[in-house]
Amino acid sequence: MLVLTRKVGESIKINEDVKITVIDVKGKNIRLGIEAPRETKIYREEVFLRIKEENQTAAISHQFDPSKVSQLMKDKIKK
Amino acid sequence: MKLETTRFGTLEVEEKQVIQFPDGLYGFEKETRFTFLPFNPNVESPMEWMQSALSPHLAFVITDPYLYVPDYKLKLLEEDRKKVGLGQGDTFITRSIVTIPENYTEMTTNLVAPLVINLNNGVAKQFVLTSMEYDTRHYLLPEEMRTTTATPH
Repeated sequence: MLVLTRKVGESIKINEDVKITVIDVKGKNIRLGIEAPRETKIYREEVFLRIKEENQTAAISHQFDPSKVSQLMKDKIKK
Repeated sequence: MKLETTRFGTLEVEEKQVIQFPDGLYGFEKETRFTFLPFNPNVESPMEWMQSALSPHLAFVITDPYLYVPDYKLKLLEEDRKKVGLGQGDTFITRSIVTIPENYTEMTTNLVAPLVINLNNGVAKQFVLTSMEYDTRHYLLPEEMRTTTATPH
């Protein structure tokens, strides 16, 4: 891993078009500003872990009666 | 082809009914083939089963997120469209995975990671939205229809 030290207000650039600036440091929290082309996807890394866990929960959560669930959805639509 | 499933027994499925997920799903990267089945043969339902064609025990419940969030915002970039082979004018459907807990009135759907299915070639992918607007556990039922589980003493 490339490790760089930056001060508040300083930036790094990735390729020509991505710029990440250290906005503020408070204790353990670092605020970053990111400038990137619109189509760049920027995620907090934890989101992938959350989705993985949710998929796993969804896969094992099937102890139910589908007809009861369908009935409930029908009742919802009536309301 | 014959499909062995734990929940539905042995099914006869045509190859064109198999949806390909080349990247699998998050946490299930090797699960690249699924088939969609009616949720309940006797009752019309907004849900469907998504049964793995590789693992007999693995099935998800899926639904149409637009039924719950009519203005659900899913923006597919050109590179996203390429990943499922969507050309100009090709149609796709969007589905989201449902989690059904023991108290099934509290079932939720994952709006952060929808499934996009290209209907022209049967290729699909689970995308992750960058927007913070949606929850991985969006309730399907309004609060007044959710019964609280009695807490054991």
